[in-house]
Amino acid sequence: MFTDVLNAVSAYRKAGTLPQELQSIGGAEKGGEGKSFGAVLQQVADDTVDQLKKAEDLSKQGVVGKASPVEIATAVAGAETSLQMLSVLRDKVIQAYQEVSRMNV
Amino acid sequence: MANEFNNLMEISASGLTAQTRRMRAIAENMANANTTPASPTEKPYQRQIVTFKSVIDKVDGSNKVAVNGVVKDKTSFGKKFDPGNPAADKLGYVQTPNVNTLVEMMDMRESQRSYDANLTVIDASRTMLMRTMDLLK
Repeated sequence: MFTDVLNAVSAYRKAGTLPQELQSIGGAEKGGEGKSFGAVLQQVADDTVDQLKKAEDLSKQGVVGKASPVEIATAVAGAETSLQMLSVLRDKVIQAYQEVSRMNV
Repeated sequence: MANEFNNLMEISASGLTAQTRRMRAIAENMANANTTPASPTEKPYQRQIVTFKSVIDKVDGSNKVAVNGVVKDKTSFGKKFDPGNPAADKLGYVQTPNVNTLVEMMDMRESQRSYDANLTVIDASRTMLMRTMDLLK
């Protein structure tokens, strides 16, 4: 299913209508060029998973009293915003997919 | 991605941690405000002061705050006439800690306000990020 979506995204990209800011998210340091939306999404997903894991580890340590509430709160809040960013981007992909599937050939 | 916002949160979090440490010193001072020595030769509890320093994070270059050290207040101890106390000297005086609870109260309030201010910064930066994300929706 996910590869289907990525195919749609690349088709969308070839159509040249993918918003510029989405193409360059996370890839700005590489010149903003040549990074597919799929790769961007992948990176955001990886980052988010990492952050979620970190937040979870800290929460576990917090339960046994080894992590300070400040650490836990910042880690969990950071993970939460990343997850929201990911879901926003996912919505964008689905939207793109639907846009392409509605296209008249 | 949301790196700058993560930095913001970590910077403010360093402020929270520093104020927490300061709060601990204040709590210790308050708790020991009446701690007299066990014998005339010993010293009473000496007030603790937490000092801060600015630290530059080598990874992202952000300027965070850290506890520089916990030092003892050098002001002189108080004296109280209490001949029955085991720590009383020949004239009947007992040395009391150099803790002024009113000063500690002020410090506590300051620490509390600073903590609140850092929390507000976190809140504001989160709101900024959320509003920006709304643009994508």
